Amino acid sequence: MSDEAAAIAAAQAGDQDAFRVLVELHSRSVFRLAYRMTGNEQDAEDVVQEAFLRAYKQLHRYENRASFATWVYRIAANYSLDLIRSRKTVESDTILEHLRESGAGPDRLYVSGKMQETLDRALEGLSQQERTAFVLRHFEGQSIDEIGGVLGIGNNAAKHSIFRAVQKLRKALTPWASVTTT
Amino acid sequence: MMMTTHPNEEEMILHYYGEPEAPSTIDAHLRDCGDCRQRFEALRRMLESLDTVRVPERGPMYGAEVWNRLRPQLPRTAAKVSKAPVMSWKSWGAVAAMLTVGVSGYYMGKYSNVAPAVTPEVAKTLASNEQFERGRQRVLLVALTDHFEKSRMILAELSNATPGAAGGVDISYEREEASDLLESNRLYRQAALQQGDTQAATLLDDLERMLLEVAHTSPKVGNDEFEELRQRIKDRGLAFKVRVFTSRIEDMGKAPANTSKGNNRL
Repeated sequence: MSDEAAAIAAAQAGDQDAFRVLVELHSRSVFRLAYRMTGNEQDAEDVVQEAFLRAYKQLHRYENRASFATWVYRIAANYSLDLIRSRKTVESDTILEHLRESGAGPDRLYVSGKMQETLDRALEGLSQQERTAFVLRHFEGQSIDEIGGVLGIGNNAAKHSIFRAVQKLRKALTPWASVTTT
Repeated sequence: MMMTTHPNEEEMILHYYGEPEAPSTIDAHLRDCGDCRQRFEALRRMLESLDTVRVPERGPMYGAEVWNRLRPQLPRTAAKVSKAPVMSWKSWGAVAAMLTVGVSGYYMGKYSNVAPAVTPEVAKTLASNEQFERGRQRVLLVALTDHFEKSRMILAELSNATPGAAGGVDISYEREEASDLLESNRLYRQAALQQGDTQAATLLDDLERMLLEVAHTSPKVGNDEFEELRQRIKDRGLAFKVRVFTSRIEDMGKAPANTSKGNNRL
């Protein structure tokens, strides 16, 4: 039994220290996913917190069919979607803030800012399934199989969600692609 | 071998992401076909442009920070409920004993409308005969029934609430009620555990976790979050289990007490 599997088994038996191991192991990747999904740092923090809290409460439901990471991703992705729906708009200030801190020049800031606005709008135009599938594939490098697991759909449906997401994003972002790569 | 047909957009997306399903000959085709190469490059540029948006870094201690924030919120973990709970007269008698010692004032005061007030003078008198014992158990059963009934009502109200069109669901009342019931639930559970009645303790534990979850949910929840909460209540079948339990306790209260034989199991 792997260390992670042992930690899961112990956590399911009520060992909070074992759950701590899982939290420490997966927090950063869950944060990255949450940030990609929500586009907002504070929301992403909320998602991390809530995802692990829900995971703890639902530990008895976890079965080893998917990896623990995939299972927590699923919880985090679903909660992110709830949050997005409740907030309606995704703030882009945080991303611009980071670009400023990185020392990017005004032109680049303008382009990145405008592109971010366009990207936000484009992402909002995706269905929940498309958005989740795209974020998991493009940013998190998850396989089609894993994405299907996260979304609770088959591989073909996961694949088509990615296709549709890319097509929609391409429509929205093509004008910016040439600007940002020159 | 070169592809005889041009790859479509979906095949190019699969190729970009290195999916094994992408046609194996696509590389060769892109080398030889200028139009397709141009299309693929446009796709690649667009997708790579998304990577200019950075994710804020989190330090190596981030996991520990998350844990420190999370830990105070964690409820106690409990085993699954496997079958309908069974609780004996003996167990409830012990629960009664414990609660009478620990929280009798609370219950006597709270349920004074359904049970005689137990002043020290009255208690002294009653203690000398069986009437006190029966009275004490009756008070406890009323309190237990009331506790389960209130819990069941919360679950039923949440199960039957209608989600709003857009503004979510206001569960502030249920939240407050759940919060109020947590302490007494904890006492009952501890008493059941002390008596080794794991089945009753498991039901109470399950109920406690649900009450805790409701008490910690925002007063106004989004429709989806509410739906998840409702689904969890439904999945656990708690409302039904609590109803069965309540009805058995009520029956027990009507039956003649027989604590010595311990054969009056629910």
